[in-house]
Amino acid sequence: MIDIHTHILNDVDDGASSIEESIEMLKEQVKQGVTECILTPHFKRYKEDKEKFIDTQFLKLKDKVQELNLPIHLYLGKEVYYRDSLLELDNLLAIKDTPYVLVEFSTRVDPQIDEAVYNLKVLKLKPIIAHIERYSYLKKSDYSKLKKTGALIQVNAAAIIGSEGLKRRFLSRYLLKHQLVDIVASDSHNMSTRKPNLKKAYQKVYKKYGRAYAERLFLENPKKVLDAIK
Amino acid sequence: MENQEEKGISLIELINILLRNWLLIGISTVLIALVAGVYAFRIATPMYESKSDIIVQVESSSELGFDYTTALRLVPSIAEFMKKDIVLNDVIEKLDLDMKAADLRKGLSVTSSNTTFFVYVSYQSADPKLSKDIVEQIMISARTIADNDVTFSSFKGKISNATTVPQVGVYASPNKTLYVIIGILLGGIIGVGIVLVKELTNNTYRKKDELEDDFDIQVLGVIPNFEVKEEL
Amino acid sequence: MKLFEKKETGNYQYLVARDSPNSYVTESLQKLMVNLEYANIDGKYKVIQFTSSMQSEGKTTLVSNLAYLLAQSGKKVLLVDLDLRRPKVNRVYGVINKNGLTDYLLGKIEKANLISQSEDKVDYITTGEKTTSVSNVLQSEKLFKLFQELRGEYDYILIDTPPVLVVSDALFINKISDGIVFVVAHAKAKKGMVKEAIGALNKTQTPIIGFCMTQHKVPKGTRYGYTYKYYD
Repeated sequence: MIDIHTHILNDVDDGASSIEESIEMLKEQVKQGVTECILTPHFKRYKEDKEKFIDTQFLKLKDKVQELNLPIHLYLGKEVYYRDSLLELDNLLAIKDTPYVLVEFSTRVDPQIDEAVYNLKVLKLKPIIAHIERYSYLKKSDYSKLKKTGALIQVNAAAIIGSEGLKRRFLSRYLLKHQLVDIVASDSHNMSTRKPNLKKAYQKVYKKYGRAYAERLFLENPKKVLDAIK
Repeated sequence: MENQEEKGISLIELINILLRNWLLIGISTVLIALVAGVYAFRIATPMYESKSDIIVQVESSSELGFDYTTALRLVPSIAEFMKKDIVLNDVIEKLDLDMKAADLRKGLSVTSSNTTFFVYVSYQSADPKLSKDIVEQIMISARTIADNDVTFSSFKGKISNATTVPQVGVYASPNKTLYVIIGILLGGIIGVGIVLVKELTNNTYRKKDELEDDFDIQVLGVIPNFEVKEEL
Repeated sequence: MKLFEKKETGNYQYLVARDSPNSYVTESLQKLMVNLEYANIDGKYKVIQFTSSMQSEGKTTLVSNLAYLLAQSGKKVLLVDLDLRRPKVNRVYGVINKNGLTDYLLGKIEKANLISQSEDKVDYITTGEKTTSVSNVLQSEKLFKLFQELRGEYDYILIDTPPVLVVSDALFINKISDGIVFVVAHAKAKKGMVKEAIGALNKTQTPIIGFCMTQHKVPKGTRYGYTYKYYD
């Protein structure tokens, strides 16, 4: 499996708070069957030194993983909290060396996600909407509209498993049923309340929809992101 | 400017609706008339009718004298008599027919009037010759039984020979013209019905005339449907 | 270049008039333009507002194609997106919605940056950054003044506005526009809604120039007896 949405990189956001925790999380990922993992710290505005810091942290983590011989590949990306003004950053918003942008939105105020997706597409970027089940202002007809405008849809594993409440569970079920989901990811932040949990979600999808569908959501579609890395 | 919304349709609107849908109504009319026509001309079995009549011999002389009331009752009695099983069964036997009395009665009509001594016999059948034979035989059988059967002694000698020789059955039904006319009318009604249902259940605008009729504002253009792809 | 369209409804980009100039769709658009110009023979209608009763009735597609055709015929045309809540004109030209109307009205940009030029001789103004005070924007003095100035610079100013029944924006825009073209999609909005919308518009001082029916679904064979090939 390939996990494209994680906060495993330590000390850069509200994710892992130490390199030890990062390693623990990665070990857990391996246990669950994840072979490739994109680290996506939260991104709200561009700060050059912060970016440099993140790069360093990333290299440190990669070294450690190599040292421990963990069978998992790491990639660096970001989870962008969308604002129109960020558009000028263009492909700095994307997962490194790809045209894919993992983007999240306010859960309270409707920010016209369709507009944002369109704008990103004008820049020739490929938006992936993070944990779409959290945006309660979206109507049933909005999901296919977003796909039509060109967005990829990501759902959190926790929503499928049901640990985020019934509402999100039903919604994710609806989205799965109508093939409105492109990717499932863990969005894992720590080893306590938000552990890596792809495996359980995979099993649920596998059980209900069969192998091909599960593979598509947990492996093939995420792989397209990695394949785009030049 | 009036603010009230009219519910319901005015007569002019109604006429407009019907005129707009002339094609549908036309098709329905033609179709059903056609069906009726096909039925009348091809499918329905043509029936042929043969008829004749006899005179009830009311004697003016004899011990009884001319009894008006009796004479009055005699005519319808004889008419009824001619339809009875005993007569019909005799007919069936004599003509070697493959039907029961009840079947025979179906195509049979025997009528009399209060003011004359005539009893009219007619029979409808798909076979024109059969019609003639049956009518003929009914009168013969009736007379024979009346003259010979003691039960019907009061009718003895009262039934005359046929006054008119029954002819080979003449075409009687179905009335082709009538069917077609009914077909046309029915088709028209059904057509109008369909149009009204269609119009009343559909309340979106489908044709430019509908817009022009409802608002008295011209339609500048009608653009056909096409799908737009946002390509970037 | 496609020779025949595979589907019944063609698949086009927004500017079908540009991409498929020989198609049936473009012909209809040209007819619309001719009728509009004819209705405008006295030159009364320079600033024309396009609205409808519901969403997705094809307004933006219509107005952008009309702008294109008018520009091709030699007129100086400006297309303005005044649907501040659901802007779409920027999508017609494949640009990000920035440096638009709200940005200008808030003083962030100058008039020179406001008007963009497309490659087809059509000038356009997008809505700009999202704002919550839409009605304030639409009723502002600055907007009014802007239009006064623009009048002198163009032959036609076409305005894409939101549907009447969804928000009352369209009614504010009346103060700027000379005339309204009301867009009705085939078999979409209920008649009651259209009547309500027209009623509301009639109460303003801006006349309705006419209707345009869009998304008209018609079976291929019945195109007025001509067979149109979809090649370009």
